[in-house]
Amino acid sequence: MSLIEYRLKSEALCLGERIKKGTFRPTITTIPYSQITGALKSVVGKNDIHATGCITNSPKKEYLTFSPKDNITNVSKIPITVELLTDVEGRVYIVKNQAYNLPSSIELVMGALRTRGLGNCTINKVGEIDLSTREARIRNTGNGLLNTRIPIEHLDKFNVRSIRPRYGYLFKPTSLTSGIYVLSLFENSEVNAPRVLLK
Amino acid sequence: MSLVPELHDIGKLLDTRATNIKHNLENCPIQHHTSTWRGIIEHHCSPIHEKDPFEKYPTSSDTFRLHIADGLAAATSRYKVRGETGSSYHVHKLWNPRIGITFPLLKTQEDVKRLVSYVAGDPSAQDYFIKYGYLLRNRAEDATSGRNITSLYTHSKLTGQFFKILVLDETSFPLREDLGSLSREEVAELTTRKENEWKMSVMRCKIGFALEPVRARDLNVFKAQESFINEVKAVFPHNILFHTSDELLLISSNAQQLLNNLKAKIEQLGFSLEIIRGEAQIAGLKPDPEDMVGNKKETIYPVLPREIEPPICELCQLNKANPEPWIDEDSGISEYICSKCWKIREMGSILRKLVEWETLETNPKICWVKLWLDYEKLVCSLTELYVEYLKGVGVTDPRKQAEIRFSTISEFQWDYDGFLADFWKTIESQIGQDNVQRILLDFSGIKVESLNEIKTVLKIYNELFTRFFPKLKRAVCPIKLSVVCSNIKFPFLENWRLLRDSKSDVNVHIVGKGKMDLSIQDISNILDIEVKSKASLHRLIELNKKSTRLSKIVLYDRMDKDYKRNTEIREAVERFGFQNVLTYAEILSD
Repeated sequence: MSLIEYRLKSEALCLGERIKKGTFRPTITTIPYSQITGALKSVVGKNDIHATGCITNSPKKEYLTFSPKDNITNVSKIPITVELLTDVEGRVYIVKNQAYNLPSSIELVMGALRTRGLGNCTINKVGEIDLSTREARIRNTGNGLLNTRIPIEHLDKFNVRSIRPRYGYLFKPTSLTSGIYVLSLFENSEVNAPRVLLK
Repeated sequence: MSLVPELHDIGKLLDTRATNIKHNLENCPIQHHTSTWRGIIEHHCSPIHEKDPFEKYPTSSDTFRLHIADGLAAATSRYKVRGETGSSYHVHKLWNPRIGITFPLLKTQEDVKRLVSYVAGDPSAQDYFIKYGYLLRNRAEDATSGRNITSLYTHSKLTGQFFKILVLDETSFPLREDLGSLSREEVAELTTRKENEWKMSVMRCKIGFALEPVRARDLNVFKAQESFINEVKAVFPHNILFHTSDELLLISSNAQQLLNNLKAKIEQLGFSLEIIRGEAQIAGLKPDPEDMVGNKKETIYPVLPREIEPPICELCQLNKANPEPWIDEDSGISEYICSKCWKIREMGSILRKLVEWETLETNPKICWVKLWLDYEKLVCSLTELYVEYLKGVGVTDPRKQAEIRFSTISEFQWDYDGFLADFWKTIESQIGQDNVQRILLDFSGIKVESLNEIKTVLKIYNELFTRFFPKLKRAVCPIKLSVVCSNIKFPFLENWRLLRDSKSDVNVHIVGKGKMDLSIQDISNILDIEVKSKASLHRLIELNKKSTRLSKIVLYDRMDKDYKRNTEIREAVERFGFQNVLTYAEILSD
């Protein structure tokens, strides 16, 4: 197996957590499996795609306050403040699938508030991380702190082994309108993993 | 009456030269036959070839266990720091050595009589620490220069703890030998054998919680964390050797049983525990399990299902939310939270001042002040300071001999707790008690009128740090100060993230304005900066808000009208960095 490495750039991203207190939507500072895989699936149109990523610079946090409207009554709800990251640079790692080739440059939309112009990203292929042989795995993996979020059920796809986990849940869509939360390894988990996924 | 192990070294309060009485009181003219007295005279077993050996040695299982506990609680290994380097009865605290202090030992016959009759009255450990507390805190456990790094107080307490662990678990510490029939040499041999046979575990447990506080009531989670630690202290009084507000250092003969007990407690609260544990023969125990061969790392979580059907708890995102939302009476906002987070919120308004500030129409600024103690760094810096001390007293090969043991760590705890208590007390007296909401022993919220009050906090911190830990200013600093200042309406979870993500020794983050990352050495220097030209400083701050690069260019532009007036600022920038100086200027100018 190998991971295809892409460089990500985005002007503004809100990688949402749950809204807090009904008024504040914070952003996380990594690119979880659920967000990037979902975004890629909708662009590439393949279901068997698995990707994860991380942010490599220290983007500025900014805040956007707006009042969403109820679609039916057209009445404004309580204003909500959204935390967003600006001028984001990151890396995306897609598990290589022999069945198809991915383009070297992909435009995608990821995260929250996409209707308000957030989440536009460009990813450009920069290389490949070989994990196919024992020697390659020894060379390219190591122990450290995880820099992304990956569901437990997909750890093996990224050659990640948990040592001291930090758990959380990621959303997994089960249909167009529904989904479940699945147990996942979160950033700062102590793991043995490809070095590119470590802090 | 049973043996009170804490009293075993009471004889060290006597001046051996003046009274001619050995510290185990074996040659005291008056002798008693209580269990505690037996513990005192039999708590040593001199090695075979020692020059002036103690005649008495352990002849029963309890005095033998006391002898082992005494060794475990010693400041230095009996086999280390050898050499005649002279006597120093005062405690040389590695982080705060006091020079030129003489220690008033008990010298007269009257003193001896009083002490002996006190022991004969079978006092409790608590009574002993009250009566002789002052002397015990100042008298070094071992008066040899180079070994005098912990007090008799800490040593006595720790001996008591180790003794109780050894006595309460006969399965892990079996002792079938008939000690009454053994010679001194045989007991010495048995000691070595048991120290290599009996095992204990050292565990470091870091408490974590997933709840992200958004309302003042959610901050009750810190109170729950405090109660958890207090409960562990109450249930395992002998096992805790060190603790901060979120970390415990435990020792146990049955680690699994202890962990099961902790697991049951965290399950109720929804907390997690990051654990490092190492098991070794008691002769090889180390205060940091990370340094023990074959240590294990694990994280204990409450039971987590593989999948959760929505809605998931909005606060902790680790549990299924209750079907009925929590509804805020004032705004009508509903939140889907789980029963564990609900329980924390329902604990009521423990932090009353915060709740009150939240309702103020003036939207006051709050300074969140948190202190962090890094245990690994602490062990490292104490080792370095010990090496320095041993070099100073002429010990050969100090790096090989400098070994930090449990007693030094426990000794540090006293001073750290004292430092924290003084820190908050001084802040309360200078900023006003009504403006300080204490949350944890090392965490408070302070209502401030202007950013200038951050300078007061930094000044107090610097003064107290210099008073309590002067030597740590020149070592790897294990203590970190984080200050985050924001409007009360700014989400607490963001403040908490900023507090947690601090990297330097002193971190100040003024939300929306800037941040300072300073080393502990820099803090006193930056507090001395005086900028006479306030107008040019304001201009730079305003420019910085628009563009940091532009304000930097202006600062160094020889053609700029303020170039000469900015000389002091440029000098400060050279020393502390542009960002730090500008943020400090924001503090001064508010």
